[in-house]
Amino acid sequence: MKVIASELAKLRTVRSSWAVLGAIAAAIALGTVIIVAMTADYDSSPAVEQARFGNADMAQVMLPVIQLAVAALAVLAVTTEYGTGVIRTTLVSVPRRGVLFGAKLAVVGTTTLVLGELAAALMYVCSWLPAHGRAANFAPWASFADGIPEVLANGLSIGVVGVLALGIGTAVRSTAGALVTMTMLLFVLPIVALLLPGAIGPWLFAVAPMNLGPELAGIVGDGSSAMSPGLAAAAMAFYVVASIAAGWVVLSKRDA
Amino acid sequence: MFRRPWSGTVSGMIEVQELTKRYGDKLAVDGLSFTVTPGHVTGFLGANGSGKSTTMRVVLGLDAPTAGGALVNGRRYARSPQPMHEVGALLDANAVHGGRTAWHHLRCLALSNGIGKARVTEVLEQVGLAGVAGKRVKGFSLGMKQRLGIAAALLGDPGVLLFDEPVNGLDTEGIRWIRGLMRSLAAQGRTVLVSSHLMSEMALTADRVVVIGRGRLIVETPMTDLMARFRRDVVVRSADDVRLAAALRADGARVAVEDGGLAVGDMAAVAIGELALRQGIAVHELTPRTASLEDAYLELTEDSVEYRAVAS
Repeated sequence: MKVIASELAKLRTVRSSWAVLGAIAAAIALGTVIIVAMTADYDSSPAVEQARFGNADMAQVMLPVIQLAVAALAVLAVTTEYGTGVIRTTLVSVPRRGVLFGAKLAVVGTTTLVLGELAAALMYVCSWLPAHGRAANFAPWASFADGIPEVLANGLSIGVVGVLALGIGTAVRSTAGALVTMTMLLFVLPIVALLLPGAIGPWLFAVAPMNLGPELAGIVGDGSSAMSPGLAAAAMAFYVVASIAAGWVVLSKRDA
Repeated sequence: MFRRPWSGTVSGMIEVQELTKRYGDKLAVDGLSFTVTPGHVTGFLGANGSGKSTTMRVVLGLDAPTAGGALVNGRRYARSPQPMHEVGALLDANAVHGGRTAWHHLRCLALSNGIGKARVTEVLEQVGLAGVAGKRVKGFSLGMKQRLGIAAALLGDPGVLLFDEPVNGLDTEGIRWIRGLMRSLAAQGRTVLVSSHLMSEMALTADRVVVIGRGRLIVETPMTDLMARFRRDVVVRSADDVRLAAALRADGARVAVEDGGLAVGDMAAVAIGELALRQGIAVHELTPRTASLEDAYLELTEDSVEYRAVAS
């Protein structure tokens, strides 16, 4: 518990954590502007055009942006310690590396999960409020409660990305290296996947972290490549376990 | 100054045993053994790259030894149940997050060992940083960061302290302060190990020295013994150097003529004076000459310097 309190204090007492919160708020504000503008456009369009509108779910655009912001928070929680050399001071005050890693995982995992659920809820509310009551192609929620499974699943996927980023940060020990890896996973992988021929492309697209939330909520209707909720949950579990294992191998075996 | 004088039930010893550490194909520490005991300031001396920092990192459980190991209070430090109350260390003063304030930096460390806010304030006052507690570390000079690192080491009121080159970046006042601090910590019965590549610094601070070169132990000895070992000769000036020289040689002393006097070896100043009195020769000067510790250190480490400028 003491080490958890220390890790939480570390997260709270650097500016970058608050900058990440600001970035998330800005992304949601921008998303809200887009949804409001889209709705205005929808309302002033003739019925034929209205039927061609995509849906006004902000998460479709902003989820990977928020995942990246949260990934930055999680990566920095460990890589700045290596970059500055503070890790040695930390390991002298907490020489049991398992205790330290456990505390970091608990703090970063919980923080990013809570942050993720809040952001997902806010994205939904800011999409639903302007857009609800229109046709299903535009506002795919018959009632407010219809959107809640996706909120929970998206929030969870943000928490998963947080743990994934912490594990990768611990394994590569460098801010630049870990952020590049996370950007590849969050943005580059899905784009490359769409360009790949054969079955591997759609499969890679389906396991990209940005798609796991909607897949877990079972709301990706038209995408033939989409995974079932069960498989999406398994993919999330894999990301968490694999990144924790990678981080732990490096932290426990290598000299600090 | 401290909440309580340190009085652990444990021995307070640092024991380095047959320690070997290899990085790739480079041997940093090579079968090193020595013991650091409580109540002294022990100087840990060696040229840059001789393995001092590596040894300290192994003692603190940061680096895993290739062979052998190190014990603090009779066990490996990584197993310590009360780490900050057992050991305090200053390894690299620049190892701080520039965005945190001094107070928050120490608060984060203190929390990890259940140490309260009052103690954070106390150590900040002790190292003279109370006035800048709320300032971001980014703006600190190296000397201020050294003080902050020392404050962190003192947080848990530990019985064993390790300082790696703590005077780097300190001004004269700061150096004097840290000498006094280390001495008072040792006087309270704590174990203090201070590394340095400067013999002159250790001469003023340490009671014992452990000298290493190329990762090997060169000598482990009390400071006074080291000085005695390198005491060289006595300069004598007298009314009749020629007669005195003959008498000294007859008594088994080693005598060399210097301009305006004699350099006498293998005989103590007292004996020389008494001999001169017996011979009825007036002595004008009688000065024991000690090789400077710096010379002694250079002589000791001569064969083990890793990097040396080659005369072209």
